[in-house]
Amino acid sequence: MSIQDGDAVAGGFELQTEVCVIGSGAAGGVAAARVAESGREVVVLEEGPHIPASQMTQREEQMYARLYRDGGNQTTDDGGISVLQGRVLGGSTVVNMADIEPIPDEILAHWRTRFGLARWSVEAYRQADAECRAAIGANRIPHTELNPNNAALLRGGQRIGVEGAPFEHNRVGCVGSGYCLIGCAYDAKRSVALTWIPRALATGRGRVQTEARVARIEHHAGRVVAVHGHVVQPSNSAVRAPFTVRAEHFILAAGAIHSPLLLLRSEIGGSQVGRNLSLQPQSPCVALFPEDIVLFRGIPQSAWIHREDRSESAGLGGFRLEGVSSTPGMSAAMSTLPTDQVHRFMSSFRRVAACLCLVPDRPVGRVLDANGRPRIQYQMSADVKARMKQALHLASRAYLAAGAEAVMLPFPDASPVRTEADLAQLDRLQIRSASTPTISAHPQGTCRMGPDPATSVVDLRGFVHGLHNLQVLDASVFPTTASTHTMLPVMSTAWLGAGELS
Amino acid sequence: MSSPPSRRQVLGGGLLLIGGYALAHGWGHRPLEPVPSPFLGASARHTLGAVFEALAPDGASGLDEVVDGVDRFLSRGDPVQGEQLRLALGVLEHLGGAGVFSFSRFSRLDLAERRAVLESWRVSRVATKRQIADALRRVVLFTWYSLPQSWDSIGYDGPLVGR
Repeated sequence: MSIQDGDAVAGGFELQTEVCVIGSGAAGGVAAARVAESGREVVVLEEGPHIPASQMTQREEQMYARLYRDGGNQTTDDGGISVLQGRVLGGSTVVNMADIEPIPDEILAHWRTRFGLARWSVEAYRQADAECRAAIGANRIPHTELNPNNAALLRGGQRIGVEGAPFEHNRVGCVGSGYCLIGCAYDAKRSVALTWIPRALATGRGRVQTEARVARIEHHAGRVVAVHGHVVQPSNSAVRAPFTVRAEHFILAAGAIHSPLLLLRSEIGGSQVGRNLSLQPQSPCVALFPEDIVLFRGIPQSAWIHREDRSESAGLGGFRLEGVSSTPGMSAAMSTLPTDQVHRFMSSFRRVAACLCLVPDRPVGRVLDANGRPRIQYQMSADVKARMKQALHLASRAYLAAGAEAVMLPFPDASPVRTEADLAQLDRLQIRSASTPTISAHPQGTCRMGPDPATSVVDLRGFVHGLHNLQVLDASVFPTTASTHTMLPVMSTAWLGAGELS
Repeated sequence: MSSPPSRRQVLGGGLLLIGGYALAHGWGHRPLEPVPSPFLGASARHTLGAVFEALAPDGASGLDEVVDGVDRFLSRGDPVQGEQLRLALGVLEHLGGAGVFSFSRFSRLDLAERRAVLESWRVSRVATKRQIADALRRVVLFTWYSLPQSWDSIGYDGPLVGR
């Protein structure tokens, strides 16, 4: 039992197994391990390649392409938001910032009262959190390991009286190279590829097939019979040969964009599939300090300030600010300065600090099938735009308090902020598509969990309504955004869902 | 349930071209055969080169690396992405130099005019113009600053592996 790449099955293959897991990220890896440890044979299908630490080159023009879906090019259909997802063994856990946060109690309560998610209690989630934390080496980042970029944000927050703290993360033995977003070359980030997948394989009942893209789920009389797809070239997803996997049970864990896409293409799940997408948008705030910050070294995202508003009756509101690193190419590409000023700005790259403004949103988007590719419809609501501006206002104040010379707001027509009075311009600046750089690293929703097939896609155990042997166990089942980083929420959900098979 | 890509989707994409170029170079560690028939074609390559000259720092080298990288990716990659790029470059080439009483292809404008066009499109109220200018700007800036020859000027000491 092992990890096989596409070359090993270049002529195609057919398999029969007990459980087939589609996707090897935070959901698929956990589900595979739990299923295998319960005594069942499991096959994991991953579209992306297996890229070990030895192939992490720390070159951004190489690694974004190899590790991310569409080379980091997946966007909403208006081009306004880059939706970043890993496409590699281990999924987004290979390229994320490694922050560990549970689903807040308030959100679980909201899901229970508003959406009827009564099966998995807060206590059950906390036990699952503990299992997952232990598996991935969770630990709190000590203040001594904050790099100057994150320390500046935290210091500024303290000076203006805003709460903040270091994150919990799953790095062990981090050397502080700063390249978490393009893969850890030291195996310090304990991604799913290094934790849950080996755990599944260690049972002797697990098999992982990479470079295998599932295209269709075959179902008959209330049961899934098989999944069909193609072995693909990892470089360009070109089709090599067909494959079929037959199983007694299937777990879909392809994420909130591609899980609904696969259901849509297979005509499974009813009218709610693809609806209720949350993206939890993030936009950058950049500051220039008089001294070197060197944001590209150290732990990239190690501290936050300003907790979200957890009193919102319809889910979380507010915003949170998080330090963030960037490589030179991405820093320049994300800049909204006029071109002649970008190069001047980049000449001060070592003095740049940056954070992301994370804004929990409501599920207003939708994923559609555009001939096999996802079409992601999402418009940022007025409420989210308003909170994004509040976040930028606070970030600017924090940076100025921390000693920044100037703050650059992410608008093409913004002037540098040198005093708090300059922030008055936020009243006139508009957040517009393809104008204000915005990313989403946390797509959620689209296969909503709930007791009613008319308003949801999966039941309270993650089973697709009307199908007895297909579960969806990734971030797509969240009825609203978990309002935080999604790695642990997804892992715990997959742990609980896979436990339903035991 | 299936729907075709929207026009906005075809033209859009904040990181539209980054992925393209990055993917081309991302697989540079594997042996690459010569590309006898570039995907973009001579006209689109010419426009992309003109964009690079307008957006890169004065005196920057690397034009051929950018254009070849994008072309190589498109000749091997997802045809939808290829069409997105070709369409964006075509729109810029044919409309970028159009004035009220004059018309010129984008690539035939002088450097200052090309910069002015790209900057005006970048802040335009017309979403399609913004999307095209934004995507081209991003790929050029991303590409330039991911090349080692740009690093000394910004104080970036590059990857740590292999040292």
